[in-house]
This record gives sequence, structure tokens and C-alpha cells, in this order.
Amino acid sequence: MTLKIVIIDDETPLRRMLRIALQSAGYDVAEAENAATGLAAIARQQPDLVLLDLGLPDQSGHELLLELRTWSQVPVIILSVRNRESDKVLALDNGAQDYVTKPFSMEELLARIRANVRDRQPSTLPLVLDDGNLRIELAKRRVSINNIELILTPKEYAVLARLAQSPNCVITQKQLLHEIWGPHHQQDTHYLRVVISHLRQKIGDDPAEPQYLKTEAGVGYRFMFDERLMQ
Amino acid sequence: MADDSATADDRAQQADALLKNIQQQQKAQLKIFLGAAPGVGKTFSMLNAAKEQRQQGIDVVIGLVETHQRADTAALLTDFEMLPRKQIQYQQQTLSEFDLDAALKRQPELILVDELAHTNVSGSRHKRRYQDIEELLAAGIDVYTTLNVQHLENLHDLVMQITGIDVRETVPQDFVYAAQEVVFIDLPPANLIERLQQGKVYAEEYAQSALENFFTVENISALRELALKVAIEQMASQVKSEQDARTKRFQYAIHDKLLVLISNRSNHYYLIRNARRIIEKRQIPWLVVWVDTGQTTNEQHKNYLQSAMSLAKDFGAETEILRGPSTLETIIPFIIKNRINSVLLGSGIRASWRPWRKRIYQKLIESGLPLEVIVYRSPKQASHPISIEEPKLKTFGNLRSHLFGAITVTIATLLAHSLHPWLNQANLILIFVVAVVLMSLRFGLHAAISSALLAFFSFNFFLTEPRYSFIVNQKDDISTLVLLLIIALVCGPAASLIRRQLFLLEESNRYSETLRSLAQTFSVVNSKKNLWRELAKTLANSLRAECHIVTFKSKRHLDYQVYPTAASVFAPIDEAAIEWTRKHRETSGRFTDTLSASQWTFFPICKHKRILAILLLRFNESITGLSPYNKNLIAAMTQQAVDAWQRIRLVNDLESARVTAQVEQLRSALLSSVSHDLRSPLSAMMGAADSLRLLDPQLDLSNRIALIDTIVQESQRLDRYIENLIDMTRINHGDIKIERDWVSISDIIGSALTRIKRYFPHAITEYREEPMMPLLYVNAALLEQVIFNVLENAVKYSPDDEKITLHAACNARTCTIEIEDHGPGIAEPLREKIFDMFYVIADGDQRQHNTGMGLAICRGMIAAHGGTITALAGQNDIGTRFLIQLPLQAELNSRKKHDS
Repeated sequence: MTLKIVIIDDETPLRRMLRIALQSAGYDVAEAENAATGLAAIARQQPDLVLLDLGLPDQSGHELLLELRTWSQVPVIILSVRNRESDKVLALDNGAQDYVTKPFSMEELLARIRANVRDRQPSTLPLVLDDGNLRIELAKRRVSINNIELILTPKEYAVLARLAQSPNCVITQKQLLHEIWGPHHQQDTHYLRVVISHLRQKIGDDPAEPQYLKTEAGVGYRFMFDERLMQ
Repeated sequence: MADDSATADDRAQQADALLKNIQQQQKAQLKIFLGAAPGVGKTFSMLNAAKEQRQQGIDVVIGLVETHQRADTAALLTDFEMLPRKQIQYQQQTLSEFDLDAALKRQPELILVDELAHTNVSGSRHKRRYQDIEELLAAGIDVYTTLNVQHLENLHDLVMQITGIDVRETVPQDFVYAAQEVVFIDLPPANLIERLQQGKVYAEEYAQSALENFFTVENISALRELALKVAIEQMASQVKSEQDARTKRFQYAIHDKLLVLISNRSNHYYLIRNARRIIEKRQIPWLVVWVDTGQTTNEQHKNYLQSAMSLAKDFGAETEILRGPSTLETIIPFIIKNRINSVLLGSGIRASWRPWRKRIYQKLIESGLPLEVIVYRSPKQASHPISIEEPKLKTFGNLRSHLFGAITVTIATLLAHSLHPWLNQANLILIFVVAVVLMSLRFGLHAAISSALLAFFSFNFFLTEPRYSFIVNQKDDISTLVLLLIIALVCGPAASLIRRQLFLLEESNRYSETLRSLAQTFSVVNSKKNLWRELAKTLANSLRAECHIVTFKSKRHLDYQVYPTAASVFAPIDEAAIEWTRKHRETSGRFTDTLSASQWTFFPICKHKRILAILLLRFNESITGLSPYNKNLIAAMTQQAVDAWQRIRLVNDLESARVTAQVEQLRSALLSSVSHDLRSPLSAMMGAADSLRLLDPQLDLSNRIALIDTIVQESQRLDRYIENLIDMTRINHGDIKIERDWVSISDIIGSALTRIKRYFPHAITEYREEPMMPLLYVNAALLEQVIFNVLENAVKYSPDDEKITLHAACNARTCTIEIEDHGPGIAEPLREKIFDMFYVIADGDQRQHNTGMGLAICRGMIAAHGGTITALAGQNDIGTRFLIQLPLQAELNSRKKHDS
């Protein structure tokens, strides 16, 4: 079954380029040039993923997203020239799965699309992530580096596991805090920073150039994992 | 108000403290002989002290003393009068107790009651002995008593810890600490034990058990320490309460204030110097007050007063000028309001012709205010400097008023004489009465008296029998004279009082009116320059003096700005005074002690300690000093100016903050606009190129061509945008050079239309042109760009099936091009804004592919041609009509000529 993607963007040349690229990569593509037709297309096509521009002529992408989330949980990747953190956080909090700033590399976009489509299908998620160095066994709650088991605190494990469950997808700070610390700790980002720094220390990640736990500044974290090893 | 009440509270507290202290001093004295344990010799010491008292003649009685069969103590008792004990039956036993009633009845000066901690047998008046003693003290009888430290209530637990004994009989510590004296009776533990062993304290069998249980060296040492501590603490608390009272008294004193009242004719210098001596001794603030009753019109007098006031100021006094018709009536409310409790004033001169009149100090004393009135009689020779003679102006006024009196009386006489045949004597006199009343109302007392006398003589001479003689032969005539004089005496002072009040009212009206209008002016002033100009103008008008305000541009010497611009440059001495005043923030120049040779007077205008400006005033040369009115006026006006200055500064700060915010907003709009417009085509290009590289095997030919087309088109779009950006920058810098040539308008419009069709094939356009259009001398490329930009805008914003019309017309001077669409139109307030660079109606990237620069570029290019471009509403208010007006060559030539 081919996966279906709806592109909502007011730039005709960009839409055309995306359509060609995505079709060639094996997706079904539908296009919309504004928010109204975009929502209609999602309702009609029931796509597996939506690429959404924030600057639409009739409505902002943020508003569209809020409206969409009232009736659909389809993964949404924001595609925008706006690169301010506030826009990213707002979009992710409003229910977007990922955020890609224009101009982007096609390779990266395709990887993000694959990650987010897979994230929707939990059954396909492997219970063991192993790249030869880091091994995370989600079923056994066991993490090891070079076959040496790490001792993690419950919070550290929870954060790592949550990130590893959606490899390559951004998880916002708010989301992590809400899920792991509870609804009253959504502002306590320093908890998270401390846990992430401990985790990096334990798994041997360089904070300046992390291999696994990547920071999306001001937005959240992303667990980077070679997708080929997850097949 | 809040401040007032706080002060009142303070005072009440201070008064309480004082009262408490006094009460304590008057209260009967309580002396406690405190010991660490029984047997240290408390009773013995008490008796010795009482003996001393008795030797001084004090009436001493022993209320109750327990000798515990100690011989030396018993020996002391023999000399004293002893009250019999009260026998009380208790459970078949007869117990003896202190007889309180007997003691109260006996009323000695001092009574000795042993063992303060004792509990009375039930059936006594009080349960405890200390309560008996309280009653004795309340009755004014001094009491000596004894106490062992273990009986103190607050030490109960400690004593139990030390000795293991639960002491039941305790005395409240407050009672002990309130005693005037606590005498610590000390005996080293070893001596005490020795005494105990010798049986001097208790009977032998009892002493043995006491020695084992209680009287150990450790116990006694600890209790001794405690007793010592209690004695010290009690002493400290006594000292403290005395100190409290003392400091509070001092505080009360510094709330005092001395008011020095200088009257119109007192010797001011003498009073002020004396007042200074007093306040130096008392260390209190002082206030020098003059009440202006409007009587002092003499310039010399005024100057004298002013110099006295400034002397007082130099001595550190506050000075105040009050206004009112009478000194007493004005000063009394002032005294009450300022809570003044001392007044210093001169004795004043009792007018020898009015010996019944009380002097002002007498009136003050009799006013019933809680006042200390200090009266100085100035030495005779010292009182001379003030002339008491009538001021010149008044003399002239009097002369004139007497003249008027004579004329009025003459008229009255003529009138009465002509009416004589018809009216009787009693009615004729009324005519003279009217004349006298008129005179007194108009010219005051002196004129009234003179005209009353004149009227009497005239009446007597012309109208009474015998006619034309001054012979007074009837009792009636005497009464007429008296009547006229009484009217003059009553009406004259009343009239002068009314006139004086009127004068004061006018004066104060003028003052407040000037200030009010100034406040009004200042309320609308919005720049500092205007503020200083207005201040200078108003001051010049109300003081009738030349006025300038000097402000400083920098901290450098003499780098200043003058408002209004001075006609002549200031002399070196003036500049020196400006600098001096700036540096010292004090008045200088004429009428002052600094650089007084200058024609100007220099007043600093300060806010807190910062100098804002200097006020320069040049008064008429005939003026010899600054009147208090003028000084007040200057002070009030400059104060208002300072307030306004502060307001203006605040407004400016707000404004600049707003501008900064706007600039910031513009900057971020610009940034997001540029980033959007550069990145959008770039994203498509990069994406297409990436796809070509990445997905090459999967792409079919048509898709590959489509991607390549995308790259080409988008790079062109990017180029156009960058071109615009560069144009814009050039226009903004104003260095765009246009190379003109003769072209026909239809060619330019035609080429723009062709270009627009290429980008927007569906656009519908219509072009009309007036016949006989002249050629234009312009840069064809630029003009075409303008028309293209406007058209592009129109196409983007109008519905696809609506026509865009272009119309070119021309008169002798200008060529007009109108481009009208049927789009949504532009709201009136935004029609100018759309020409701003990067103006974005919606934020960021949320708009059609619009650079946000198009119209700004248009305006720049048209301006470079000397023309204008404006946005208007379309016909019937639908859509937008852009109006481009270009001057024709003839017009341009004539403009050039005009310029040269």
C-alpha cells in the first residue's frame, strides 16, 4: 500500500517540485494552495502525512493545525521559512510532529517523513535498538554501551525510552515534562536539561556534537538513530 | 494629614513616658533586700537601713519582722515602734499575721514588712503578703521588705533544677523589677554555712537537715549567682526606663519650634539676632514671619524687611510672609496649624494717644493658646534705623484726600445753604453726615476727621444762628460736632480696612491668576525650548523686566543656549555670573552679594540638585531690590517650569521608547520579509536540485524537465528580487542617476503590458490614451518598471475576471497616468503606508508573492523624475486607482531656471 501525503503550500514552484520528488520516492501526493482546500483535501484523502506551510494566504498554518487536531491525528510536518524557536514550539505544541525550515535538504525531508510515518505504526517499532555501540532493550528496560550495562535512574531511563520510541522525531520539552514529570512540571525545563546531560555523560555523547541525543534549541530533543538498523 | 496624626501619636507617647516617670518619682518607694538564702543577713541590713532613715527624722514603723530568734537582729528591734500582730484563729491554732489595717491607719512614712514571699493565713484580706505591700505603696507609704531569690516566680524552674526543691511561695517578677531599689545582701557560701553550723540561722536539729538538703556550697553558690543577676537586671531596667523618659523628653523638645514675629515697625535685626541666640541654646528650629497687612507701602521699609528676612535665612531660619488684614488674626491660625509653642516678638510701641490698646504680645498671651511668649524690648538707640514717619506716597495721598474733603464739604455746604429755606436744621445736618461718610469710605480715617471738623465749622458758620459766626450757643451744636466726629472715627478705619483687604485680594488674585495662566500655558507646551520661551515671556510680562533663560548644551564652559535669543551678547561679568550660578546653584548678580555689579540677576532653576537652566532678569534701574512678591512669583513660576520640564522629559522618554519599538518592529518585519522572499525561491531550487541528484533513477523525463524549469524560473525570480533590493538601496541613498531620452508613453505602457502578460497570462487589461500625447523625456526602463510594478500589484489583488484599466492624459505641464483595478481596495489610512519600504499588511510570509518593495521602488523612481505617485480609491469606491504624475520637459526647464 502506498502512503499518501498532502502538501499545503501557497508557492506553486515549491509544490510542483515536492510533488515530483515525493511521487518519485513512492508516495501518493495531493496538493492544496491554501488552508481551506488543504483541510478539505485532508478530509477527503485521509492521508498518512501532511506537509504544511505556516504562511498561507487565507489562514496561518498554526490555526489550520489547531482546527485539524480537533478531528484528525494525522502526522503533520511543518515546512516553513520561519526559523524562530517560538514558531517551532508553537507548532509542535499545537500537535505538529516535526518542523523543517526552508530551504531544506530533500534527503533530510524524506528521512523525517519516513520517521514520522513509522512512528504512527507502533507495531513496526523494534523493541531493541542496537547499532553495535548503544543497545536499548525497551522490553527489558536495559541500556548498554559496548555490552556494558548502564545504571540509569528511573527518570533518565524514562526520558531515553520516550525519545527512543520515536527515533529521529523531535519530542518537545513540554511533551517530555508532561509525560514523565506530570502536568504540573511543564515549565521545569531545568529538570530535563539535567537528565539529558547525565544521559549524555553515561552513554558517552559529546554535548557539543551529540551523536544520539540531539538538542533542538529551545524546542526539544531528538533521538538520532540510523533508520536502516531498525528494519 | 497622615503625617500630622503620626506626630500627634508620637507626642502622646512621649507625654505618657514623661508622666509615667513622674508618677514613679512621686509613688511610694519600695526597697527590697534580696538574698541568696535564709541567714545572709537581709533582715539585719533592712533594720540598719531603717535606723538610718529614722535618724534622718523619717517616721519609721515595723509592720512585721521575723527575728528567727537571732539575737543581733532582735537587739536592733528594740528602738523601733512595732505594730501589734493580728491574731487569726486557724484550725484550732492561733497564728499571728501582719496587720494591714493597723498599718494603714497608722500611716507612717516608712514601714518594714519582712518576707515578701509569705503566704497569708486564709481569712486575711489578701492571699499574699506582696499584695498587702502593694496596698501600702498605693497608700503612699514607703516599704522595706526582704526576699530570698528562690521565691522569684520566673526562676521557679531553675531553682528546682538547682536545689530539687519545688518552691510554692513565689512573687511575680514584675513586682520586684518595679521596685525603686533592690539591695543585694551578700554573704560568701562558706560564711553562710559556718553561720548555719553555729546555729545562728536555724535551731540546731533543723539546721542539720537543712545543711544536708539545701545548704550545700554548690546550691548556695548557684543561688547567689542568681540573686546577683536579678539585682543587676532590676537595676538595668530602672536605668532604661529613666533613659527612655530622658530621650523622649529630648525628642519632645526637638519638636519645638520658635516663631519670630517681626512686625512692621519692630527692630528686625535685634529680634533675629536674639532669636538666634535662643535657638542655639535650645537646639530647636525656627521660623521668621512677617505679616503683610498691606500697610507698608514705603519702599525703604520694604527693603529693610527683606534684608532682615535674608539675614534670618542666612542664620538658618525658615522665613514666611503671611498676608492678612490684621497681624493677630493671621498669626494665630498659623501658630495653631504649625503647632508652634514659642513666639518671640518685640514689645512694640504703645501709641501714647491710644493707651487702652493692647499690644500684640498681650493679645497673644491672652489668646488662650499653649504658648510661650518671649518679648524683647529693643534698646532705644537700636530702634532708630526704622523711620516711623509717614511714607511720602501716603503724605501726598493725605494732602490730596484733605483737599477732596474740603471740596466735598464745600459742595455739601452749598447744597445745604440752598436748601435751607425748605428744610429744617436736623435734615440739613444729614447732608454733612453723608459728606463725612463718603470721605471716610473713600479716603480713610484722617480725611474723615478733617472733613468732619470742616463740616462742623462750615455748618456752624453758615447754617446756625447766629449766622456767619463761629459762636456755639446751643447744646445741639456741640452734639452735632460730636456726632460728626464719631461717624468719622467709626467709618474711617472700617473703610481703610475694606480698602486694604481689597488691595490684598487684588494682589493675590493677580498672583494666582498669573500662575494659573502659566500652568495652562505649560500644560500644552511639548518641548523644552517652548517651555523656556514661555517662562521667559510670562516672567517678563508679570515682572515688567527683561527676561532670558539660559540652558546648557554641554558641560563645557559657557556653552549655552539663550531663550528667547538675546539681542546683545552678555558682558564678561554676566557670563561669570552665569557660570557661578551654574556651579553653586545660587542666585547671583544684582541685588545679591555675588557679582552684584551686573545689571542682571541670575536665578538657578534646579530640579533636586541638578541645574536645568538659569533665569536672567534685568529690572528697571529705579528698582532697588526684589520684593517678596516678586521673589515668590519667580520661585512659584520656576517651580511650575520645573514640573513641566519633568513632564516633557517623561513624554519624550515615552516617545523615544515608542519610536525604538517601532523601528524594532520594522526591522523584524523587514528581516522576515527578506528571509521569506529570498528563501522561498531558494527552497524550490534547492529541493529541485536535490531531487534531481537523489531521485535520479526514479524520475521520468517530463519530471526531470519540470524540476529543471523550476530551478530556472525560481532563479530568475530570485534575481528579480535581488535587483529590486539593490534598486531600493540605491534610491534610498538618493544616488540614482537617470539617463533620460525622448520616448512615447504608449511604447512604455505597451512594453510593461507585454511583460505582465508573460507572468500573468490570464490578466485582462485595457489601455486608453488622450489624443496628441507629447513625448516624455524620461528613463524608459525605470518608468516601465514603475508601471510594471503597479500593474503586478493590481493583477495580484484583483479577481481574475476583472479588467485593469490604464489611462494616460496630459495638460500643459504634467502627464498623468492612472492605473485602476477592481480589487478589494486599500483602506484610507493605509494608502500612504503602502509606499513604505517593506510595508507588509499581513505579517511575515503570509501574503502573495509580494516583495513589499515594489511600490516603494515606484515612488523612488517617480521622485527621481520629479513626479509623484499616490494611491486613491477607484471609481465608485471600488478597487484602487494609482495616480502617477510626471512633469513635462517645459515644466522641468522652468523649475531649473527658477532654482538658479
